[in-house]
This record gives sequence, structure tokens and C-alpha cells, in this order.
Amino acid sequence: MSLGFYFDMTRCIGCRACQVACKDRNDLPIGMLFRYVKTYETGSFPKVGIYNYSGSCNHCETPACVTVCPVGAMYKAEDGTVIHDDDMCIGCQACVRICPYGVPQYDEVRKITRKCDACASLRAKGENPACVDACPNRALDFGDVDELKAKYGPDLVHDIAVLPDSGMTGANTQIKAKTNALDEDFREIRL
Amino acid sequence: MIDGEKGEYPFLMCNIHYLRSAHSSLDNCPWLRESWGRPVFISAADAREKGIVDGDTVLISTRNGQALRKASVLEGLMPGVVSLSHGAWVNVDEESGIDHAGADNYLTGNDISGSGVTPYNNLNCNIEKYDGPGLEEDVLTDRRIVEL
Repeated sequence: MSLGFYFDMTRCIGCRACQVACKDRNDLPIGMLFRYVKTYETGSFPKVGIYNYSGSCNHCETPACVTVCPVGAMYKAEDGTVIHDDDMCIGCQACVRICPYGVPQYDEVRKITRKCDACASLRAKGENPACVDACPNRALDFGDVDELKAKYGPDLVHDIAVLPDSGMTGANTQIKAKTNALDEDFREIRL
Repeated sequence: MIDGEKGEYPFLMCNIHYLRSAHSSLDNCPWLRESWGRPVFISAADAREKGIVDGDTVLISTRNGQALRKASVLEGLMPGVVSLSHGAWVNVDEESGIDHAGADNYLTGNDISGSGVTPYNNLNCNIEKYDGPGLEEDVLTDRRIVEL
């Protein structure tokens, strides 16, 4: 079974509510993000495009972080999510270095790495991850990859210009992309 | 003025509502400051002409005051327009008189209408790359919480 996030870029207004909801849920310090939102521009004045990307753990099929963890603190759970056992972690940061998406974050205070678990404790109660429920435009969803594909249509992609090749780790995030998100000539902008 | 000559303050400033704060409420919340840096938005064409790159500290001047903000350079902003978001808590440096926070109402002056408000649609400003020390990101600055 594969679980993953769905992100509808065509609905995302870049409000960062998902980013802040995740910080609230996980009580993250400044500088640590389990979900990040970035905004990009394409083209040049007057023909300009803009899009937002809300990114988090892709709960990959062949996660690089799981492969490199020397103590098995990073593992693929039965439901397909990639989970980090904070108690087992030795803080070597191999996962931080290997993840193409920069998902695992090192916690300087606790001396371990931490990352998105798609709000496992909420899901255990039958609820959505915090980011999914926070989005005012319903641009995020989480669930079985095939069910999401059936629900949101056949034109979903795993790859957009700002992301590394999804084939490297088998990223399970599905994206309804805007056309200009495939334009390789993009610039990140600060809103 | 329309078809007039540009003077000392040739840019048109607009003050957008910004998701970091509700007017000035919640402006010092760390997670909001982290998500929304409150830069001054300038157009790519104007940035090139002024030698400003994204992230540079910019001095914004109006006939009423001056402020500092880091630049966000956008192709999508109309050249000639500067956008400074509304809601910053004014933080004037005592020596220079420059507001380090970018409070729009420090720049607008005190012309009061009959009903007691300061109505303005937009204002004229100038921008230059600041030759002094660069600003820190707001998330790293003092939250100015009063201990009673």
C-alpha cells in the first residue's frame, strides 16, 4: 500500500497556512519546517507567471533516508509512510544529507533528526494531517496513492521543474500542476 | 501628477494587505515572521537600474520619512511601482530617524481629513540601495514583548 500527499497547485494561493499549521502541530522552532511553501516566478515583464509549491515528505517507495540510516531509526511503515523513530536516532544526519528534497531536519537542541510523519497520531484517529485541514482552498490531501489519482484526475504528475527527479526515490506526492511549473527557467521569489 | 515630470520621489508606492499580520496585530509572532518576511517589492527593471539585487537592504524615502526593508525583486511588479506591505510595528533608529521596520504610516505623514483619518490612496517615494549595515530578517529581531 502506498500513501502520499496530493497537492493541487492550481488551487494554492501560497498563504503558508499549511506551513504554519504543521509548525503548530509539531511545535517546531524557527528554522525547522516539516512542510514548506515556496513561490516561484517564470517569464519576464510583462509576460510573467507565478506559482506556489507546498512541499513535505514524499513518503517515497524507495526512500534514500531509510537506506542510509545506520540504526534503522528511519523505516517504511506498514501503511507505506516513511516514519522516523526519534528515540532510536543517533543524530548522524545521514538522512539529512541524502534526501534529495531536504525533508529530514536536524534538531540542534534534541540532537536528532525529525521529519513529517503525515501526522500519524491524527490519522490513527481517522483525521487528516494538520496541513490538509488547514488549507483554506483545499489544495492538499493525503491518502492511498491510487485512490487520490482516481479522485483528482488523470493529469497528475510527480515531477515539476523545481523538484528533483521523482524516479530517484519513487516520490509518492502527486501534483496537479500549473503549466508554467514545467518551465525550467524559474526563479524563487520572496513574498 | 499625470504627464508631469518625475521629481525627487519618482516611484508610486502602494501598501498591500499582507498575510503576516491583521493590520499590525500579530506582527511579532515568530512563525508568521518566518513565513512572511515583509520585504519591499520592487520591479526587476527598477532593481537593475538601481543596482539592487534580491535581498539587498533598500532605503525607502518619502517627503515624510525613511524606512529600511530588504528587497524582493519581482518581474511581475509594474516598473515604477514599489509595494510596501501594511502592518509593520514602527521601529525608528534614534540616531538616524530611519524606521527599520517599514511601517507604512511612518512614511505617509499626518494630513488629517475632516473625519480625523489620514486618507491616502498611495504615495510617492524613492528607493536606493542602502549603504549602511544590512537588515536582519524580522524573525531574528526583538519581539518587543514588555515584561511587567
